Amino acid sequence: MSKKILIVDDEVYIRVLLEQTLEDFEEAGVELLSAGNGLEAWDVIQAERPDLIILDVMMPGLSGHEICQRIKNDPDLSNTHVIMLTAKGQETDRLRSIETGANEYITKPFDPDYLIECTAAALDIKV
Amino acid sequence: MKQPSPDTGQPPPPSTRENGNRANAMALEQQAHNLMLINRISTTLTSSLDAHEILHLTVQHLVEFSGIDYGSMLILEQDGQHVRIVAEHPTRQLGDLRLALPHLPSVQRALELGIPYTVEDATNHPLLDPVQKESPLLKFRSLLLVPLAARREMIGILLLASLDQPRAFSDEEMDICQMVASQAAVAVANARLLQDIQQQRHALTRKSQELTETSSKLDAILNNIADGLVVTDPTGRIILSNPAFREMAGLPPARSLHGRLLAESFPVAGLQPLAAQALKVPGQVFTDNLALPDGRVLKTSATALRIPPPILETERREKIAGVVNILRDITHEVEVDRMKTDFISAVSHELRSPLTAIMGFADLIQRDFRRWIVPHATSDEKTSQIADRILDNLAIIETQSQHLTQLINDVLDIAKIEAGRVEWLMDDTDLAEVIQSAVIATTALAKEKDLPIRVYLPADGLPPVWGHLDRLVQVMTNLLSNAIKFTEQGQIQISGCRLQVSRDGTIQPETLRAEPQNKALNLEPETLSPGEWVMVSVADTGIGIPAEEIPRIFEKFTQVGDTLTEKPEGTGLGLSICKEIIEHHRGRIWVESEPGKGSTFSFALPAALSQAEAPGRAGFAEPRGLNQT
Repeated sequence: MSKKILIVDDEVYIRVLLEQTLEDFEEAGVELLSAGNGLEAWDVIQAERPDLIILDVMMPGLSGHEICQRIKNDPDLSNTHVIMLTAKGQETDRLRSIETGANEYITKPFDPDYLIECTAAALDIKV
Repeated sequence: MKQPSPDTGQPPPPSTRENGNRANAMALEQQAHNLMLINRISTTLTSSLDAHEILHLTVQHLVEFSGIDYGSMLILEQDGQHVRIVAEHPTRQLGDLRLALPHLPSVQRALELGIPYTVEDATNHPLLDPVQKESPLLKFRSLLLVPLAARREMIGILLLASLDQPRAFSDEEMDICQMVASQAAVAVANARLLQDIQQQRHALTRKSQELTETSSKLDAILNNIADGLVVTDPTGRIILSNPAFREMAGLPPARSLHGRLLAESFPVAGLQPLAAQALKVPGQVFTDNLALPDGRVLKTSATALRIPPPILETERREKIAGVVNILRDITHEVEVDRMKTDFISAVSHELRSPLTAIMGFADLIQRDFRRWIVPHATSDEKTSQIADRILDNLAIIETQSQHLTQLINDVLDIAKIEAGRVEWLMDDTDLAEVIQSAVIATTALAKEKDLPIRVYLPADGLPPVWGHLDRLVQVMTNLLSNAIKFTEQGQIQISGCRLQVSRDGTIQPETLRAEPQNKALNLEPETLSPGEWVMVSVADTGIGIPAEEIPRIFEKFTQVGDTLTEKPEGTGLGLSICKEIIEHHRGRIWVESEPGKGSTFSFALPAALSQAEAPGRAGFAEPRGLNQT
């Protein structure tokens, strides 16, 4: 079964950017999914069980922190790798992400190479 | 009216028996007459009539009984230079006439002597009053002047005069006049005393009215100020409170809280402990924030109520009468502060999102271009040239976006520090570790310019400082990258040492810098207070800073040189942030520089107290020997 990455961000350009940045993984057989808000993301997570979620924090409906908390509190989902990708570069925000159990915390604007590196490590795939 | 007796005061005629008997009978009659006069005058003087009336009646009796032409009472004025005629009989319409003493030599003489003075015949008297000569009203032939003395002080003159005929005054007449004068003087003195008392009573009444007015004004102020005010005695009982306080306490504004315990009169705990603290340290203000059950936030401040010693007290010690507590509603300020923080956070988010897309796509375009286009563009020279230009231009977008990102980060950083919205994770921190992290972070930058970074630390290391590791690394990295940025050749030298600043301001580096430097340690000693400090310097061999720029170097958006032609990469905020961070650590940061030779940026932080020296230390340690501000 192929591995799945879910990209969650309410800004379409950021979703496109992330999809294109992670294009090489798609070519390596990884399925790229995306969601434009928290509620939609939660539906996709339950239906598709992605291996890695790249999660924006500030979103209407359900915030990234809330989604991360739900994932980590759900025994069926708690192994999912979560990378928080946020424009809020504050110390409290980073601490909050660690509290909710996120595996990684990257601030916008992000270094594409670093994101690719983190993704490769999370999925154990070299591209 | 009695005719003047020709015998009055005259020596008895040559002695015959009849004459002797007649003389005795006359003397007896005279004595009886005198006694009657004295009695009448005494009665008049002790009656409760007003002073003017008393004096007038006295003069009248005296004139009527003695059968003299004219009598008056002259009172010396406050200035001692004038007399005023306050009573006369029979009236010559001279009442209230004010006369200058120098014009009345005989009156002046009588006042000086303090005893009765007579002028038997004014026509050939050497001391004839000029006034008498000039004014027909005052024309007298003979005069008897008797001073009025009260408590050994001359207060006026009793004047008796014969107008046309010369007349001698007998000893008896003089005695009676003196007696009358002394009684009149007492009456005048009493009248004056009464006047004084009445004036004082008026003054007191006025003062009391003023006090009532002031007091009601103060009451009005207390009742109308928006801040809550409550004053307690040293035992914590309320001695004064205003309606604003009672409203904050959730009590009816009209209720008196006098005598109630402060701790039991306020819905939230915290007021009484603050008041207790203030009581212990008079002269200091203690503040705290309290949240009311209805959500309002109060800033409370407490100071000891110091009463200055009474002026006449020998022991001049002030008294601590209790505590003044002020409660200010800062709900709005707190809300504004929160909005400011939210705004900073929102701006951060709103600016970063589009920037993420710009930078990300520029990067993607570069990758795709290199991967898919460049390999096919080498065939044609023009195409290859354009391909290179596209890559160069994309690189410019990338570096400029990075610059913009840094600018946003710095602006937000400084806004957060200034707004007090930074979390300071304070701990014992080794500056050697800070230096190492910063060197690692800037190695790549230094390698690009082929600049060696040399670090000199004492063999036994540096004492720890109480600080936030990441923030200190931020300072160090900033200083180091600045040094690299402004240096084309030479080297960057980092040194750390321990400083002992003594009470007289002299500085002794306990551990000298490992590499002796040519110039002496150039500190402004007054900038470091006595105590133990850890100092770190970053010295470069770069362009240096002109002397006139040095005072502004830590200001926001200040960079050396012409900003249009030779602007190096940077936001102009880095050093301001460094200064804010160092000052938050109660440290000092400064620069020494010489254009063309290089700059040395240094900072000093107070050495942390060991746990043993500062038991129960919480949050931020008070650095040893630092001035507490």
